[in-house]
Amino acid sequence: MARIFEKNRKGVTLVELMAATVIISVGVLGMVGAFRYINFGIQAPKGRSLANNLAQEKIEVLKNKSYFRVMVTTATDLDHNFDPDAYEYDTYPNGSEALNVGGINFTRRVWIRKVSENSDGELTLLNWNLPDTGLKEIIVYVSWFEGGSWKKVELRNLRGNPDRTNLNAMFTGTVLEAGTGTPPIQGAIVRAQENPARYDTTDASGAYGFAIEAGSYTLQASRQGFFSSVSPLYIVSATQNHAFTLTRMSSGTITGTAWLRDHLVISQVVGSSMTSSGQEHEWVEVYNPTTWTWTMATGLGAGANDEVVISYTESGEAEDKPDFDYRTVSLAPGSYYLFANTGTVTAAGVTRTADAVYDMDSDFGNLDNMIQTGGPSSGGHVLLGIESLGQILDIVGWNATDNGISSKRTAQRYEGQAIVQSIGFELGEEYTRKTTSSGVSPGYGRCYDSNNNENDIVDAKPITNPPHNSADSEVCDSGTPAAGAPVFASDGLSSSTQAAASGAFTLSGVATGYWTLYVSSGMSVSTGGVYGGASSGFAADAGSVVLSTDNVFGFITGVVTGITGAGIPDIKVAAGSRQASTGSNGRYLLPADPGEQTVWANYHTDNTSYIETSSMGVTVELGRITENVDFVLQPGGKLRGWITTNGTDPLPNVPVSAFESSVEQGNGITDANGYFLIWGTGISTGTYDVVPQLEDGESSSPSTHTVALVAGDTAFVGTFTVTGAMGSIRGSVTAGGVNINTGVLIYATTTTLTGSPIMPPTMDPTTRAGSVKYYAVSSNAQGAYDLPVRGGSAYNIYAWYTTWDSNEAATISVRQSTAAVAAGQIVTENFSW
Amino acid sequence: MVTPRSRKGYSLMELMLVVAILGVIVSAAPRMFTGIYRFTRMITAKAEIQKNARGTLSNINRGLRQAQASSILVDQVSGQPPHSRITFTRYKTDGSTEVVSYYQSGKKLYMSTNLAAGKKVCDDLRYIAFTYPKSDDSYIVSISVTFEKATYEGAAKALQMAVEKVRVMN
Repeated sequence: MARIFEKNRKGVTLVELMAATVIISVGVLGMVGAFRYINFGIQAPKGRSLANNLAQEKIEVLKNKSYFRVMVTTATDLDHNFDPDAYEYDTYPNGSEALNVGGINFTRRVWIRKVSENSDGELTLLNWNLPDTGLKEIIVYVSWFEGGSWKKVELRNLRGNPDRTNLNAMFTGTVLEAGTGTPPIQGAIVRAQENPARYDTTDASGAYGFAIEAGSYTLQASRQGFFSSVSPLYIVSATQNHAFTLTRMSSGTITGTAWLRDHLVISQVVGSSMTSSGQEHEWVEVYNPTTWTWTMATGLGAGANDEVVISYTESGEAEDKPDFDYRTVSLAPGSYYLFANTGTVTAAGVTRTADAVYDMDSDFGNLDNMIQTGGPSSGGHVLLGIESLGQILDIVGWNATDNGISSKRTAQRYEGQAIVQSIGFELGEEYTRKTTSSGVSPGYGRCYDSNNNENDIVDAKPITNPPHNSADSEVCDSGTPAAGAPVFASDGLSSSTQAAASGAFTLSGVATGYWTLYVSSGMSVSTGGVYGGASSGFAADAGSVVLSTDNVFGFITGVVTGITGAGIPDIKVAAGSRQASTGSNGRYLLPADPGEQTVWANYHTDNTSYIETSSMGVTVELGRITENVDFVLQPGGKLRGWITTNGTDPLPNVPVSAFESSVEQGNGITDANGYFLIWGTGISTGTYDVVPQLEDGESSSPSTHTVALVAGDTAFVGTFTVTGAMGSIRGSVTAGGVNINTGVLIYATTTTLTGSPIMPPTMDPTTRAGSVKYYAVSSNAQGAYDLPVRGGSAYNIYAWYTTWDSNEAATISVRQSTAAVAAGQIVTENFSW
Repeated sequence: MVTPRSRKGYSLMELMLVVAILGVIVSAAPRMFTGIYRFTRMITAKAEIQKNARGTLSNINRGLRQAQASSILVDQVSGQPPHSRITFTRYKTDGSTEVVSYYQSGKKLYMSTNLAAGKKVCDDLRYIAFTYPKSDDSYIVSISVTFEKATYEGAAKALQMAVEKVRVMN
């Protein structure tokens, strides 16, 4: 028996068993995980190929439409699911479609733009309100969410107008500078006024040339720094030559200095006045260079009234924060404010009462020695700040390089460079802020602040610059130099410049005349005064320009002219939600939100005598200026009309085009009341053929209205009666109250179907050619259907639902209904089993 | 005689612990296996009918695009769902023509060429309908097809519905 127990045990221990279980679990879990990836592997290519099919289908649908029915995008949005590569898509008139195919939710969008092809075969994208060029670019996007990220398929295609008017005429010529030698002008834009989509830019030899539809045109040549020139009216059918000579604008120079005055400054610090009576008065004087009044305390007296406060920090020590007894609560522009350790201070023969008394030991009556002085004394700094915001307004710091105590030589904080002192802040010494970079001039505000204590502060002993309080007011002649601030004028000739480190600027090449000068920084802006000169080579001094208005904008400037080249005043220019109007010379300055903007001139056709026009993709940067966004406005009007099905009922959603010389100049879509309005860059004065763009099977009476449009007019072109327009029957299909997701066949027809059971007619060529029309559709996976039918008839509607038994025998069940559908009407018919 | 016992067997406690763990594993295993089995069936079924749907549609689409519009006839095999058969004459690559017919019979899709007996294309066909959105336009035919496959007794069915509009080219 005993031998049995001596045997080596061959079984497994519990630990071994558990280890084995763990290893097996890892394997099993791995396999389960693999299923997930197998599933992804099946889904991923499926999503992509479905998306491709959907995009292709949309392209096919759009290419099957007539050219003018492919409606150009007029409003867009960005799909931020793809940030930072968000794509732009149509929100009007085409919109987005939500599709569910194979259990995946797809979003299908389009972006349709007018393009023009130049003589080199390159495509240029044009704004939607320019006249038609006979070519449209279609982009279809299909996006979906899969595997934790957004995916997208994009297809592009071009759609040409089969009836496109050929560009069989041509303008050529040169643009030269007027005067001696007539050098060529490169970069001048020559544009056909009547069709702004046709233009060219001159090359190095000043030559231009562009093809255009035969017709009557006026050309305009324009170039920055030159006066624009306009050609006579040419009737072109072949090549027409026109040579321009442009006169250069005369110019001069504007100089000045740009200052920022946006915060309070410490204008004087005295650590010990050493009065004749032996008292040690000390004070911190503050100056307000801004244009607004500062609240220094929320109430008079001691207690929790602190708003603007001072503190002192000795080198190597902690900050001393005194208590305050406020005697004055506000600080007016250009005035001083006196923090002192006593109610009245005396120095340089002047006595001033304190606006706030500070105290270190709960006894406002004694003269506390907060700021360490002596020869030698420690380095240190005084800080001016807003208590509630924890915001620092100004710092004055000084060193004591030879005070014998190595740990107390350097100020803990200072601006730029601390005031250089050998034995520190002495008794009877003053630190006073300069009035300008050259020093302290009595009678001017102590406000020079280049953010460098050593450069901005003068020290003197004994005290010669007397203290000031809130009763004293002086004019600031400097401030903080606005280094790097962009400077520009509204003349349209000069380009912008930047202020130097000292704030000084020189703006050269400014056109003769008197212009508004703009100086801006990222934070604030000055719209300056009016500067300039009448004669060529003038030199104007703008003096000190103060940036005091808060700025959150970038700026766009340019000129709005008529076709004669003269500026048009009071034209509304807009970018985003910002608007401005042109001045008497047609120039405008538009503050705009930073980012890419579309700029509109004559926004919303505010001045009905002109058309609206726009410039896309204008980049605006905070505090910067974007120049030369110029517009030429055509005299214009609007075309209005009505589309009806029978003289009473309106027909909505029909595109209507206006043609001039067979070129589509603009289009509109009828609203819910059947009215359309056509306006835009192309709708100038002239004679237009207005044509509704009909679907297959529709007809219009009359087919065209011809109308002459006068500037500023909204011409009513007339009424179109469209027959044969489509309506729609839609609804749900349910079985036992649940949506049928397997498909139901729906037929609508004006005839009555017979048979037992009722079945749809055999769709052979004879049936299709017959006078009775049939409309059919299958319900979708969501249990809904949408069946477009010709409007103006009463229809019998049939729905067939098939179920299968286990022997695969079909049970076919039919439901029947009737509905009258008018053109443009949507009728709901639900079927249930 | 008896040597000092160095115990090599299991204690009662160990045995009970093992039995308890095994019990948990044994009771959980069938549920896990059923889950994995269902998952696999569902995936297989989905993949199969998706393949069916895509294959079928692109097959019919390709044939129908090359059809002569005037030759198209839509009806159904007797007793089968309405408009579940399409018959058309199409051009072959060598320029000759052939008559092609796709039709549903039971839950199967058949294809027949030149009126010969139909060959089965696929199973699990729940619904197919060939429709002209507008009967006066012979060039646009819409095909709607649904496949359905039961995965196992009484449980969820995999469904796949697809719609395609075909533009007839000839």
